Amino acid sequence: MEDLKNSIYALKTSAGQERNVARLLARKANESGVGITAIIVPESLKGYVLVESSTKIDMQNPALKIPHLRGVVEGKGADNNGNIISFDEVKKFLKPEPIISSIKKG
Amino acid sequence: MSQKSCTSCKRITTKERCSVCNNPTSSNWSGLLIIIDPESSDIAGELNINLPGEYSLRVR
Ligand SMILES: [Zn+2]
Repeated sequence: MEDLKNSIYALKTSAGQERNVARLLARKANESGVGITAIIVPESLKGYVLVESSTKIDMQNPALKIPHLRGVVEGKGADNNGNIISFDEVKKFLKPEPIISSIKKG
Repeated sequence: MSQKSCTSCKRITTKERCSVCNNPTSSNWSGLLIIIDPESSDIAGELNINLPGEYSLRVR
């Protein structure tokens, strides 16, 4: 069991606006001290950004009023800590396999 | 100006060489990672990143 400090949230965005939302969110996080520590925009995940945060993401927070940010994905915990997305799942996005290695030889 | 990613530390820059580790950069990159608070980020810890900023997830 890893010693993790934060939770990962999936935020819904307009299609094609993932990077813009992430960059605006990063700026807001720096200004307002919301607990966001990192943001991931995986190429394979259309219409979502993943946010690592030390505090619960509250869409009522004025700092999160961002164009093309549609909402936070709510749901039952996927891991033992009640997180929507487990850190193991996040790791897959952090270290994407090169396409060539997923093709079996033979 | 087009953004590039360092082929070593993956930091995003517009320069031909990374301003942090001086390795060559590449415009062939995908995925975006923004590290805001490296000291309290589990992701930054996992990837051994200790500088805030923008990184690619994959670069060639
Ligand atoms: Zn570098």
